[in-house]
Amino acid sequence: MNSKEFKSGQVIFKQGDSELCMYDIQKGRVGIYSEYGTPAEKLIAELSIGEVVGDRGLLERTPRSATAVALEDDTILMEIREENLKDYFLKEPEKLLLLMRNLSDRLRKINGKLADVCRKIYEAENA
Amino acid sequence: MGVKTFSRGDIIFRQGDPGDCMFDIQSGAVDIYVNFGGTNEKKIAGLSAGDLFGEMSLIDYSPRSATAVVSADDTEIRDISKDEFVAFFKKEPIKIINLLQQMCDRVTKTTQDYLEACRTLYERQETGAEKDADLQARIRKFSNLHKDFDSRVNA
Repeated sequence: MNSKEFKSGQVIFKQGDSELCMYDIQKGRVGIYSEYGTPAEKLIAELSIGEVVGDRGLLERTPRSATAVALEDDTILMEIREENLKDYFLKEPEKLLLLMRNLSDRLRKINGKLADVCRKIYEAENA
Repeated sequence: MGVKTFSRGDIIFRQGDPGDCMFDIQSGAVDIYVNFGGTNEKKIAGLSAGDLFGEMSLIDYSPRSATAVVSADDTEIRDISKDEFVAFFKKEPIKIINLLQQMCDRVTKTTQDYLEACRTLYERQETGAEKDADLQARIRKFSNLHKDFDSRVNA
């Protein structure tokens, strides 16, 4: 597993990019921004040591939904790719349940949205 | 992480029950049903040795979303509580990684279905009377899916 170091203000990944990895914050802080670098830029979250960023890109293979930027010098991230998952979780098993819980939340939400649209389609056909 | 032996017809858990542990089939077979015993009973999975089930309740304490029924005599099942989860993972990491992968696949597939359903709803509203065969098929698919969702909620 690679370790990457970032300076304050350095972009870790950009909204829209496709990247099959996630990052575990070893040191420092990471800001998550929507529309980074535009007048509509908005800080939506600040993450620090022990938190994971970019898990959807790795696990669900979706493009990055936001931009991640290092908020201080000496921000160190551990890069985790698919082939590292087993070793990563053996090292940090409590993160496994956390990630699974995030996944189950997302599944529940998207299922709810799907059920909603299906109902609308059914009701439109059977009006 | 005890192993228990079950007979055909035994119910491991029922849809709607509270639950907080998952199960690992050592031998035998378990079938998973929604609306078990009701008029719209539907078998959604047939599991055997090596398969895990019941993990959602362990992960987020949600009530059981289906009923698990033993389908072969002398079926041996290990139960795993939340406290035992990490130890189980260390013992069988591949099973858990596969489970994680299955969960990811479900999110991905459900997202794709959702996007297709949105597109279908939009196209239906835009095309009026002349719907092509593809659109009609998709309308049927999602209308049927609605009935599926509905029957699970109103079980």
